[in-house]
Amino acid sequence: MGYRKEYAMFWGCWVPARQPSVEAACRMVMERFGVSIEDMEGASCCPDPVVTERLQREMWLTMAARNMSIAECMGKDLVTVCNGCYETLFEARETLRTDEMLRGRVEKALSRIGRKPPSNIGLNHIVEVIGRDIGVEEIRRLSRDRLSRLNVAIHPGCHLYRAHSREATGEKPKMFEEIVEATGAKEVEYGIKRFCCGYPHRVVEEEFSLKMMLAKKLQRMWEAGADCVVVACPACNIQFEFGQLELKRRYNIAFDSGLPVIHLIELVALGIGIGPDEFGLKTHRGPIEKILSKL
Amino acid sequence: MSIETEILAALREEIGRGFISESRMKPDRPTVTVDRDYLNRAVRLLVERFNARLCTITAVDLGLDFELIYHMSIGGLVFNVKTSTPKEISEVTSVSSIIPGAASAEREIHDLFNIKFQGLPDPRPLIVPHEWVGVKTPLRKPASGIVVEYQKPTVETLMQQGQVFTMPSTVKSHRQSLKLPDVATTMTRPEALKEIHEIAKEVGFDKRVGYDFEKMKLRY
Repeated sequence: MGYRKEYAMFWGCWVPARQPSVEAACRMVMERFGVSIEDMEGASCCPDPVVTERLQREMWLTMAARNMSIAECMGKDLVTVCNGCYETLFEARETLRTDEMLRGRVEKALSRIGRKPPSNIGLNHIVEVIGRDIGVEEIRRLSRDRLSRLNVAIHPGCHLYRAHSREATGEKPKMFEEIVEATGAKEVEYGIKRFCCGYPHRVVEEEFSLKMMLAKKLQRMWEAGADCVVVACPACNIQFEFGQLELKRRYNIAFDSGLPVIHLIELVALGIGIGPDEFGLKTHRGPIEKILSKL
Repeated sequence: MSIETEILAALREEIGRGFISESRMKPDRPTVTVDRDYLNRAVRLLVERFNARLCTITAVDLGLDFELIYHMSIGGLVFNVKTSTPKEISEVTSVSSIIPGAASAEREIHDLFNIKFQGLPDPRPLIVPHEWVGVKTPLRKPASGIVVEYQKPTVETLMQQGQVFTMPSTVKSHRQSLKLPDVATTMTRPEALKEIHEIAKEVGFDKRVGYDFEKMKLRY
């Protein structure tokens, strides 16, 4: 198959080590649509935009620059399936473009390992690759309303709103909604879509994160009749999935047998007819029966 | 050439790579930081060539390390010599063989911080009761760094494999059953991980967070 577009694939930490079904679904969907993704040899953590950046911005920036330089050496734009990685790489690229002093320090650190900061790297979230390169209509054409019985609550995640301008902040979340709609799944409105899942707060104050953020969001999704939550970020996925287990265990807060959580790329895979067993939907730690019963 | 410039040049020549840096604690308070292995040579030079007099020694608990500041009076100038010792070691060479009067300051610091001064002729307690020896050290804090408890696993895993999550055996097994390719990141590529370590050393991340490359863990 001739590829319509080629990307350097940045998987990040979560997906390879915790969510293999997301990686498998992504590889299958990209293959199906003729989008070439090549793993980035020797990539590291993005690194995370919460802990590492707060500890030392220079380390965070240099590691991010190194990752982007790997993609640039491959001669390809970079794509990621994670909002957090997207945030880090986006912020790092802008910092390298605008802060000469920091760029100079990054250049010096990278020169020690024979690398250079990226000069003109393209960054993409997988939402953009699906919505822009593959196209919503193509998803719709192949989906044939397979998921028409599935009611989904969309959680875009905070960093999906990251953009160059205020006007563009809603572009990727809107694309996300259009993709969901194209798969045939029905979006349920629950009113607090933009509310954070609470993942970043969890490392500081777990009870607040779980009870005041996650539970509030789940409650509204549940009341709106969602069969599952669709996310664009592995960290949000973990918060929704493991957070529900913790809510039940620690605070006796549960939503029936639990709301399943899947990544957008898994929803697309299901939509275009890739079987749940093919990409390992059952490897999720949370319940998936409610999704399976609606396929 | 001013006396200050002359002292700095002489110290550089005398201790070479033991001369770590020069700075100022105040505009009129030049300070040199020296490797603790070169402390005695630096102090001896100041005393023998510049007639330096030791005013006192300050010990500072920095969390992971102790800093020792030797305040030397040279003519009208107060010149500081700084050195440090990791808490795991907590030991420096006594300068009392060069300046006998330093012994009282060293004994006081030993009493309060439990820093050992190698070569101190009379290490008996000076200001704390004898029964406190080895039991109570009033000014010594537990080792601590900037990484709070809940962030330690993240930082250690980042330094150990360049990523912030390890790969559980269940996920390995799932990856195999899904026929996913081997992970090609720093987790499985030692040469790539080495690059991350080089970066950490270059920007001083290891020192900032207190990471011990030999033990592959944080020092606290």
